[in-house]
Amino acid sequence: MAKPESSGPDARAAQSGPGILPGIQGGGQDARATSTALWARSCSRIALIAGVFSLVLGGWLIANTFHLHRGPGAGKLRLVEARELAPLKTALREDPKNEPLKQHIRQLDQQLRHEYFRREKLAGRAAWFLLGGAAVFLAALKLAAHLRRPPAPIPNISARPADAQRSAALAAKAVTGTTLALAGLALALFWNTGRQWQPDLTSSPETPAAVPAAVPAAGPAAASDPGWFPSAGDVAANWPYFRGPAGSGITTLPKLPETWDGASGNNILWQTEIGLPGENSPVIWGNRIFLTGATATRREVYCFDATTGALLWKEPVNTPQGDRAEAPEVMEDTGFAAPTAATDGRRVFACFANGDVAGFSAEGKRLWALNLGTPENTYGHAASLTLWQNRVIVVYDQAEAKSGKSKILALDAATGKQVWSTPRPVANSWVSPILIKHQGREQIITAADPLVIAYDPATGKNLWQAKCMRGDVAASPTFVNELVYVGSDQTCIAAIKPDGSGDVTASHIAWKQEDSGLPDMCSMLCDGPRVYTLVFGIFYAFDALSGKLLWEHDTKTTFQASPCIFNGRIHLLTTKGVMISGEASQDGFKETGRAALGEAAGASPAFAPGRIYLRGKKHLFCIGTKDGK
Amino acid sequence: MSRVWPVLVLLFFLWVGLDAACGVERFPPPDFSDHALPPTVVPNPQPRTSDWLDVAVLALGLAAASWLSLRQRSRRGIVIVSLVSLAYFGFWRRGCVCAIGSIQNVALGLADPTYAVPLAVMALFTLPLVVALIWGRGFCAGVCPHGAIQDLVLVKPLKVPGWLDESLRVLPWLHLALAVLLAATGSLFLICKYDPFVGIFRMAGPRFMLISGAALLVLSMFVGRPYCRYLCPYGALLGVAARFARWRPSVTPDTCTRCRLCESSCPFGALNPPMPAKQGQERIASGRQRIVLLALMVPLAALLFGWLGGKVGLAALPLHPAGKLATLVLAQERGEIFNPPSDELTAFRQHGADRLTVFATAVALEARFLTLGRWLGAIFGLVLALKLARIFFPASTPDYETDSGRCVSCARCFSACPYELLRRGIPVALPQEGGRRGET
Repeated sequence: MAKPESSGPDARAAQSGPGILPGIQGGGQDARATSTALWARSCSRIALIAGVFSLVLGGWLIANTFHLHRGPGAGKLRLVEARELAPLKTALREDPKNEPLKQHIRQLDQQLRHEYFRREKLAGRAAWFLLGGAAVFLAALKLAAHLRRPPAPIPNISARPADAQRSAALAAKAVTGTTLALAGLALALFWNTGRQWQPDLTSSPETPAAVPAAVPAAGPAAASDPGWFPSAGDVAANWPYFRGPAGSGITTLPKLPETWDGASGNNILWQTEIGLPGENSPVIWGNRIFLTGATATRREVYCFDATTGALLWKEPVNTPQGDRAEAPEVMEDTGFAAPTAATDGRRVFACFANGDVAGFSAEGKRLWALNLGTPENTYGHAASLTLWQNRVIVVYDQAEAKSGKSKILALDAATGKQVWSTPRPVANSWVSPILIKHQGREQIITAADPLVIAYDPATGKNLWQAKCMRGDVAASPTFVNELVYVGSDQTCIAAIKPDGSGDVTASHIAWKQEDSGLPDMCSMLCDGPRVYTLVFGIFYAFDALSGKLLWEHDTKTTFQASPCIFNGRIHLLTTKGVMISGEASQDGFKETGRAALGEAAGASPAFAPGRIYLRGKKHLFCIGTKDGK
Repeated sequence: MSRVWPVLVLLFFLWVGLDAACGVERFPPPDFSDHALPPTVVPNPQPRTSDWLDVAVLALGLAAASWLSLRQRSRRGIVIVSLVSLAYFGFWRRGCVCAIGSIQNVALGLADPTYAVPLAVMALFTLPLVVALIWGRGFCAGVCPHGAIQDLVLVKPLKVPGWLDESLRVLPWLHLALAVLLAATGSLFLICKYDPFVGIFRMAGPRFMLISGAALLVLSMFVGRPYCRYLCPYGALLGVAARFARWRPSVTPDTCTRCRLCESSCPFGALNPPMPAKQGQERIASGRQRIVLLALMVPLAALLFGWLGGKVGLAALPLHPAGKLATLVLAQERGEIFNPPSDELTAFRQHGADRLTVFATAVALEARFLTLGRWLGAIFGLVLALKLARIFFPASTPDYETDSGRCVSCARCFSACPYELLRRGIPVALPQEGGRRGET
């Protein structure tokens, strides 16, 4: 065995008497104490020098950092680059064949690079020196502290460590407390965490032969279940409302067909005649497609098989009040069945121009029907329905703002009973509401002359409002980039931050664009970087964050359907039933193709895996490829 | 306090300096069209020999540290080993690969049959544990660069109150559970991502890493090895292994007279005071209480934390790349689109990938996170229950003894014992009852 340690700091510490054995030091104690004090002083001085050295070096490194990277325009290199190099480069652009100028720029550029990398290299070396300085500083400080350590007190042995048990008890309480605190924290943070990914999200095979089988096999009893509503995942996996689950007109479903031809039948999987006319768009849940149609005297709800196009059922909608009342006057483009239906998979809800609202089970059994009174609407009621949990949201705007007749109401999906109703100080409008969730707060966004208003879907309480609309407000809003985009044909397009409360006109309108491209009938579209409007055949693009008009593209045709995005491209369905597809950029819109349905169309498209459903004036079309690719 | 400020200021400058020195600025390439950009060079993989050199140095270090602490009882020797390890594993090998991080490789290797743990990494994981089973935590003594750097900067150790010390020692287990969960699911290597000292060893790194490293170093000047005691997941495993060690560091080489001179010599709270053994009926009652407590606490804690672990597992799903993509795709479909869209979403859309495949992956992953989270939570609960039982019913010890699970074999306490000094040939007076000094 090697000789055990008998000298060094430990032994010296023992000999120099810090605490343990002061009584045995003898006559050399003073000399040793003096020597120790001298050593300690020396160490302190070394620590001081090393500390100052490190501080100076650190300061230089900070200055060098700012010189190299930080402080816009502050560094010499950047100044040289900005003041000398940049003008030279500008000059070269004007005179690209000026060889002496090129040479001069090259030299200056090389000098700058040289200086940059020299400084960076120096900084790298200085960092090592700084590390060394810090090490010496710490070592000297440590040694000085060691040498100056006061004698440890001689413990009183008769006072036994009786506190051992007391401190153990305290520790036990502390660990128990920590355990409970951890459990409490985890509970608070993750109480609502549950399985989010339901297997039915994956139950749809890729082939379009079968669309997602998300419709539960539920009978009428399930449809009238008062508390039931579908999961957010189920809603997202279907196309349950006007312009899809988010009301955005965007789908990320892959590999949807881009080309078809109604005349030859190319990529038209089936087409089925719809009984009564209507401008409403299809809504889809699983293998069922729902539509409505109406004339001045008749109103019907239709359910089609998504795979075959067969009409599964059609049911009339009648209410005593609706039947008795005189039919409202409507514009031809609007018709009597403009509002798009809404479905939650087990039920479907429809609304008509005469104020009839009805709920049916997915199998076609009427659950309830009511009449909200014939609306005083210039062109005919057109706002689509939407759903929040087990409530049907109806925006029912009419007459002038001062008449006090407009309202928004929530009906119980199972019974049709009114859950809440909130008067709206707005004039008649044709805007479909959208549901958004921002910072955990769910909101119903509506727009009409003169207000954009957000409501709490649970209570109907007005959350915020912005006064920026005027005239005929028909374009439905969209919510992207944490901004609500709205527009009306006589005022502006506006982007509103939805985190306010009360009147946010002055505080939360991120931007307004009043000059051109103000939307008329077609809804807003936003793909992230840009917001689009479609007005009388001209397709406009605005910067989504500033509102600046980027470009306009004249399609030389007309539109009623709202624009949409699928396969990552923008698609515009003309009134003649021609789908224009194209790619948008900051610079413009490049058409990539046109596909004709062979029938006039005014409704917006609906999507399911591998398939597009388009409503023509007379038929419902299913577009897809036979092999599903 | 006046002495602390210069140190803090220095450490601040050190951090800023290192950050400044190593911040990478992408200097734009010359904007002439005929400038040929150099081809991108992919460095060759490291030769295997360096891996095995690491293992050899580790083995040597472990042997030296164990020998120096148990046989030589030499603090100076441990300091030298620490310096060498810090230089080699820290600044030369830049903190990677290390035994602490190897936990993740092993966890991933166990969970994913397609992932083969490199043999050298396996050795790095196993060797310190084997040594701990025989000779205690020789790895922590001076071989681990993380421990070494903290130990070497310890200037003025302050005693952490027992209750706080015990509470904070829960955290390494939490760290371990999370690290294993995320590694075994292939999400991320948590230990490496938030390693506080790698940034210092490399003199570069993310700002958070450099700040946390500097902060821990400042703390280490006054609190002995805060990372080792309160964060290190490998330390938690070593602590368990060391409790079964055949040979352990002993404060005194001879008989303990309970002079209490060693009482405050350990800066790491790893010295246990004598605890008298219970006798007769008291002993039987205590034994019964222990059994009842364990019988109640163990299943309760395992169930509670198992359930919570499942919740935490589910919440951690977006940390997995596939889980994150599925969450983003679903959020986009719900209209909660962010601007600018994340790279994952952009790639997903441009690639025309199948959303159902993405969701199917998320479903499978979710089940995996849930199951693993529950198991790890249950184990965490079990550890907590056993920890409480150990505190409520401490083992009886006649003398001052090192806590074998916590002692990092730093050899500091030896020189506090008068018998050790006598063994070294230094004349000392042995304290007697009441603190009176006796004769040599």
